[in-house]
Amino acid sequence: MAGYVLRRLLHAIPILAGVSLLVVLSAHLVPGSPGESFVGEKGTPEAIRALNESIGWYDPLPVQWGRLVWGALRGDLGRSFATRRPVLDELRERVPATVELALAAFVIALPLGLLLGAVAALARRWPWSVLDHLTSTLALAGISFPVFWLGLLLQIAIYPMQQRLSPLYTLEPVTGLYVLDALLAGDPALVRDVLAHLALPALALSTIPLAVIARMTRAAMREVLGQEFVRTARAKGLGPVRITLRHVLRNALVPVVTVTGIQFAALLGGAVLTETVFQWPGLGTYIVEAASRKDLPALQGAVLVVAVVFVAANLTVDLLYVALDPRIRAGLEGRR
Amino acid sequence: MATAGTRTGRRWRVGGQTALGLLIVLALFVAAVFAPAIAPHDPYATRPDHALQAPGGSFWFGTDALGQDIASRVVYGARISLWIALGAVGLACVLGIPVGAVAGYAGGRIDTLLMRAADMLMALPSIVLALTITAALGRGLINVVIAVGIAESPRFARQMRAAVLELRERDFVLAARALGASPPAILWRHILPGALGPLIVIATLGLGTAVLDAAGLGFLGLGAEPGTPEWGTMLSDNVAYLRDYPWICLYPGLAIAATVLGFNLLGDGLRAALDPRSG
Repeated sequence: MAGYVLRRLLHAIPILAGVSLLVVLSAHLVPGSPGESFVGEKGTPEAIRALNESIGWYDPLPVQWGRLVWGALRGDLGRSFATRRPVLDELRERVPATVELALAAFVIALPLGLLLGAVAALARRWPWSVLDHLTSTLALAGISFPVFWLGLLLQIAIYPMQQRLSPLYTLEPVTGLYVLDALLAGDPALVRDVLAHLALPALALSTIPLAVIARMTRAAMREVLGQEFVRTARAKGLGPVRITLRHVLRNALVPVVTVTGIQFAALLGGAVLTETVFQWPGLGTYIVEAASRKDLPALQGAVLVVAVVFVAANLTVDLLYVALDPRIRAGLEGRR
Repeated sequence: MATAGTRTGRRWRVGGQTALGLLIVLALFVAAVFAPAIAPHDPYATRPDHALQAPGGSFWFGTDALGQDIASRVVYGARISLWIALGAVGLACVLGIPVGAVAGYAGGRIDTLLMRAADMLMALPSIVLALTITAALGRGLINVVIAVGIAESPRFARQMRAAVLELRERDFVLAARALGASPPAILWRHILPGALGPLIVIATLGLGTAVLDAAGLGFLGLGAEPGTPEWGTMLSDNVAYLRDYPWICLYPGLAIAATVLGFNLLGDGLRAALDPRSG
């Protein structure tokens, strides 16, 4: 088991090294320099040169890569072109907002997805099968509908109510998580206000994991339902509720957990779009701002953070998988 | 509990959903090919005196801030979306399939190296990867195709590699090798045909993802050039007016949603038909 954890950790290193290399190379894809594309036509050669020198643009590529990796390991991602502040400080302010949004989306998606998936799996016979068709179609729609469009529609529909919301920056950051900070401030009105801000973006973002979790739950439960031990349980005279909860759902949960973890990472992609729609001050809007302004150090730092989160989420899933499924654990130990 | 009732119910469902997907995709192709005949107006013509008109009259879906006809732009948008999707998936195939084939056939260190590279591309959500690439290359349709194509390529590499690993020890491949066929010939003539089914499924689903990502890039203002009748870009060009004139947002969004749903329905149906394991 310990060996497996170690192997998985080692596996993450080349991936992160590769992403950092990609990040360095992507800036060299096109003629011109980052300083030039940041200041545009009106920049003086001196200003361009100063910007380029601040990121070591004139050094050989391997040196640039080495510096990025070494800097990242020491917690130094350089300074943003636009604000001249350390990128890591800016990211530290933004990441909690995205984590909070993603968690809120999951709080909506997980129970609903499990419920919809379970209903679809159990509704096998006419006329209940109509429910199955309905939820299957809904789930596919959830995957297909652009999250930014859903966000815009929600915003248009709830616009009159949204106007009454005060800007969020009245809140003094303690943990960076708005809901937690509002609770710590001990002001119920503030908590309500924060939740009102969080509700719509979380709802829009939740459609992606909701659909995937529902589909996975349905497929996994259908598979378990066809197995012998379910028939045995039924023959023993166990009630349908007990069979569903104790035997079917529990055994179906392993693949669902995997998919949930992978979705958490994929949610970062959806967050880029959702945050832009709702101007949620998270990692997603930071990436879009950096990309639009051609702020290379900011973009590089943010992309690296996304990769780290992604790799960490996948690692967690793999370990959870092993912890949840005794068969895999046994297989690993047998292999040693 | 495989009673006859559930079985026919299932066949009906697969059939119905796949048919719907096929219908949507066909409609998309028709709109793209015959856009000049279908669109009621010139999609680029601006009419300041007709700006922000509600749907009705000859403007079926209303007009945007420049007085451009949204219905015509949505129809022409099918052309752009389809061309981006086909281009991106084509590029992803050209990049991914050979890499997967070589990795699976060569094995060993080459396999490890190539698959780590694929893992690396998959360690970023496709929209973030595409965003990074278009930030470097700049806006424009070709750059969107390149960005989305690169972002989708690892899926094809993985699928091809899996197919090669599954097929390379089969008798017919061993026989071809014994007869002196070269590795490229074996891969091309004997393994690729066997891998085609799952690859077609991935390509179909990939077309949907490509439309979604391209529209996302357009919406973020990092996709097609401003003024292009691309569905996502139509939203970002009019972002200040969406709240008060919701039809500007409604119809291009519906077009994206329907298109992606169509490809996903078709892909799911094809998977059920082509992949025996999904049973």
